[in-house]
Amino acid sequence: MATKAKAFAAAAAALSLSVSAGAALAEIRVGIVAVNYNSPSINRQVVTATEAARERGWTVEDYDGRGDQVATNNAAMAFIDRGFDAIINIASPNPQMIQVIDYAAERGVPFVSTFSGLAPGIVADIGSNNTADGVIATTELMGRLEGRGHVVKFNWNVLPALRERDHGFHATVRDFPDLRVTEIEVRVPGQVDDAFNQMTNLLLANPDIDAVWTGWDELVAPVVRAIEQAGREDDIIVVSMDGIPEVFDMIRSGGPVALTVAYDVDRMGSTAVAVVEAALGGETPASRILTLAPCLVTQDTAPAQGERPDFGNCTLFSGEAFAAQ
Amino acid sequence: MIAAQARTDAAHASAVAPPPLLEVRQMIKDFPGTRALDHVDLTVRAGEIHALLGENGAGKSTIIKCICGAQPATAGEVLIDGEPVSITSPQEAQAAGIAVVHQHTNLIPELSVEENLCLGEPLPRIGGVLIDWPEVRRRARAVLSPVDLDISPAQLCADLRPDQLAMVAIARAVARKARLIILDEPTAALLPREVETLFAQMRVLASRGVAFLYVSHRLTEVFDIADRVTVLRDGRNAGTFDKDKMDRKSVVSAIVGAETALRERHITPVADGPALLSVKGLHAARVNGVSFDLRPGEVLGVAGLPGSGAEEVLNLLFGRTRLEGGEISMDGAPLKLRNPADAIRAGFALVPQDRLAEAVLHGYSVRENITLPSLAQFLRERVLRLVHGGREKTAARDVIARMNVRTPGTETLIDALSGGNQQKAVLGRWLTTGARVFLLNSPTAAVDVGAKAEIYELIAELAAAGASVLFTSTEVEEFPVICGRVLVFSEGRIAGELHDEQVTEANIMTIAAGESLEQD
Amino acid sequence: MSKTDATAPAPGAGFDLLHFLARYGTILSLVLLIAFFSFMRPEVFPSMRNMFNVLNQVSILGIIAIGLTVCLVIGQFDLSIGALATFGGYVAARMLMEIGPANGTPMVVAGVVLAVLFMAMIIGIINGALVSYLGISAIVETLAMSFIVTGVILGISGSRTISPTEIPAAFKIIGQGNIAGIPNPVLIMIATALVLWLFLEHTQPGRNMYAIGGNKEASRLSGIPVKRYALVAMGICAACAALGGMVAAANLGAGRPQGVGETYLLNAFVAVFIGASTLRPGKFHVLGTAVGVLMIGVINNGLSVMGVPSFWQYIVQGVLLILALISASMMVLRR
Repeated sequence: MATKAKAFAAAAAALSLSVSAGAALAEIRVGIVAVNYNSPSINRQVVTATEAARERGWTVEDYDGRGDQVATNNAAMAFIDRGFDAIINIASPNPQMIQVIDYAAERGVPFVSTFSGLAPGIVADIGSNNTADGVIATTELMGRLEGRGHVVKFNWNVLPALRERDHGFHATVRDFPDLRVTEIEVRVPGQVDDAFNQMTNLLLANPDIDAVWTGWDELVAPVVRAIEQAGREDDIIVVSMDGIPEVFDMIRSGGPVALTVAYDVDRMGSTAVAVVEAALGGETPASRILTLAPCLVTQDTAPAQGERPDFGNCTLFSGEAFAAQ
Repeated sequence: MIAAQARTDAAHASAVAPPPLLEVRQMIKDFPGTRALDHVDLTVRAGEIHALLGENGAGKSTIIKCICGAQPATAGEVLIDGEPVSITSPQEAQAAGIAVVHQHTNLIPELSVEENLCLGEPLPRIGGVLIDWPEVRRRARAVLSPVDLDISPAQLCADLRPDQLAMVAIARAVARKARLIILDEPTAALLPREVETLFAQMRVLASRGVAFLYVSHRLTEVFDIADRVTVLRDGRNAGTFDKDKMDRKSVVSAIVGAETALRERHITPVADGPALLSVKGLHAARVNGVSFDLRPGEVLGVAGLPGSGAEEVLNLLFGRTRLEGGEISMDGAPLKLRNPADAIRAGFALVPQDRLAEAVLHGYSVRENITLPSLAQFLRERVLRLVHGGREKTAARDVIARMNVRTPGTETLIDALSGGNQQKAVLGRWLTTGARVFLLNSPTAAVDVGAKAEIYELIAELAAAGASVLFTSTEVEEFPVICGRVLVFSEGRIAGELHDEQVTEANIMTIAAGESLEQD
Repeated sequence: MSKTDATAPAPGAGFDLLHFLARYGTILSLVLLIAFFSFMRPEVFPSMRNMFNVLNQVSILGIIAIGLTVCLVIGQFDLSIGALATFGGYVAARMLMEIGPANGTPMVVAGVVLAVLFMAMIIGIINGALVSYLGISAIVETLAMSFIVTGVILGISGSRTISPTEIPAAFKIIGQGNIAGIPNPVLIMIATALVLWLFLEHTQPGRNMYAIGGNKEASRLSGIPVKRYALVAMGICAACAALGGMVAAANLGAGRPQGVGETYLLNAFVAVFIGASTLRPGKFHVLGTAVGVLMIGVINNGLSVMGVPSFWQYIVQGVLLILALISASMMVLRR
């Protein structure tokens, strides 16, 4: 309770006692928790956050909740009890961690998260503006469909980020009265198989489907498989969000996948560490929500095989290419 | 007419003496397709030890269940102290002063005696919360004191001897104000010494006015203890005998009906010749240096009380339990029996004691039960091991015919057959495996009288065809019926060997109890 | 006189509804479901194409559930089938990736498939050995084995999914191709069902397994090596789970290190238990399992063709399972 900047003070004290700076900084310990470590993008964030923290000479311990939110919360509480200096939460819904966040605030331990939604008491949640991304993906789709036709939307509204994307979708399609929307809530776990089966069924039952909007990139491959199996790859388009390499490949090869809104997952992890560092130094960001710019990846802008989009120079708007000419 | 007669009798009796403690009048119990009790009368007086006798299926268990409310009777009256009562649950039975002590008692082995004595009653509490253990123990002592039991209330029931368990159960019944205690085969698992102790304590309680209704198969004991005997046969009264009118012959004939049924011998003379099976110095956990020869065509009995090693010899020969020493040879060739599969290959067949748990495939057809050990003989080829359904069915039909199994067809579920026919199918499954030595453990357990005689006949036929039979049974009276020679076991050893005329129930019981035969 | 007369109640009872429902209730509800969905979407549901679609969608579940049936026949549970399905799909994809998609000739793919089946069978045999020779509870042991398998897969994969471009076409044909218009996964399911039906019903080892499930001690006393059969049954069960996982991987063209088997695990048990209340109440058998699998497939497909939200699919499936179990237990209660 003594100070919100305990580590900073400790470092200053250590310096004044002429102990080496490296040793002093090594006393900073960060606990990283993730409700499900094995999701590829979550894994990337944990890896990049860990690297960023180690570069600063900090000690990092991580915890994989393996899908168990309660265990994840307990692990975070244990980090705080053991005197860790900060908690980074990777994509475990903050509203379900209120107890941990309150406890951290009470003990003066900064709580920084990525992709976890807003909750009172956090230093900041780093993510993408999912609502905006949903709007952009949907707007691009509307442009391609000329505002008409039958769109199937696959999503899982349990995750805050996916729900925000859903809001963006609905906000956009509301103004297109000629558009028919079929909404599918996929089953998780088993989402990949379920998306494939549901898409196959829908294609049989609805020959008029023009496009598919998937809430996250993992669902793109099974949906495309179902479309190809039905022989509809030339007249159905798919848009998505996330930006995983598999989807980049599909976009580049010119199949049904038109675009994805790609996030810079690597930068989320390192940014979380930067926010922690600032917080330990007594600086709190003005907004509890920190968003990073995504890229619009289409066939024209798709990165080469095995590469990531150039997040520094890419754009989020389809007209930019023409505007730049 | 009969009912009216009985009522007049009762009225007459009440004029001269107090009414009997329990009176059952004209009880009928129907099950789908059968009448288990057919106008049965039964009277038990206060302070009397009353034996209820009858073959399996005669209706003993049914009448007990009807008296204590476990099953509703179809018709008839139950009177306590001359007053008609209606008992439909164990609670009502307890309130009426009736308690049932089963063969395995109603005690939980993992709990101590005192805990068992408290079961079903509110425990004394300290401050209404914690159990008051000293008070529990004090109460337990109070319960046990009238029966003169030398055990500590803290002992686990699992550590008690069977007779002590029976007495604890009886003591609990007495403490709960039971005036009639129904004992269902209490002595089945007891040694002779233990039976004596139990009987002595029963007599003490009886002298204080407690009545016992006592079900047993052991006739000798019944003559020893019972004041009166009621015999049931095929669900009907077959006779009631007072102490002075009890003689063995008339009681037995009441039990079996036609007096010849049980005593008819099924023995084929054995030709002299080399032994088929030869056992030398058999050693195992409960068998200590057993040697014997078994000739082709012989039915050799191995008798003994439970745990004496007689039954164990069968298990050892079938590879069920581990042999620690000794030699087993068939036709002079030594055998190594590590498991039942080895034994079957060597030509052994086993009919285990507990048909339902160890022999019958429940929910499967008669055919599947018969061909269980011999499927390998009906294969179309050796690679995929596809079974030739037609040949299998023919073989099953053949066994059904030879063993005289009464079944609607080969595909009937085995569970639909009577116990006797199930047992014939179980015995018959070994006709196709090329078995030469049949190990039979109580093959007539829980089958009706008619099927018993048939099974004896089948055993005799097997022997006549050249097979050898090693026979043991929990019912001692069976040995004289089918065995020309009996080895009597005591404490893991062969304590005596009886031949031909010497094979009597009395001789077997005497040797089994560890005594020697008087020379006459 | 019918074969089952002996199990019928006392003569004179006439038509016995309960008896009929216990045997044919599940088949009846399957027929009613098909009729209902056909009535609701006559232009879509009853079409030949959709029927193949239903079969295709249940094929993976079918393969896994039929394998599980073998295990339950001898009275052992296997909870490692989910992890083994993931194992099968990932390891096959990974091996083919390491070999290189360009080198993935049909022969190589066949070799990899056989190798994966073999590995899975070894894991199943280890399950069987631990359960039968050490007498460990099968539920706990197979659960533990599933943790180990899951951990190993996550470890060697680094949580990374193998993408379609890294998997040779010859492998994807297993899940995506068809012969004479019948999708390959359906053919594989039918072949698995036929082989295991023949095995369980008409071979000596299969009959012995039923005997073990019926009465272990009686089987042992009939010379059947009871413990060894646990190895066989759990080996077959594991191989079927891995086969299902490989078909799933081939179907989607992806080697996923997680999230494959979990859904099939519970549905496989649902299907097998629905099957055990079909035709032969209380017994596990391949035909019954097939009915259970079809029931799950028809419910999911029918409701989704009707556009019913997926939460209804869970509810309907749960209600039908309870009804199936009730109809089976009514028979037992009455005995």
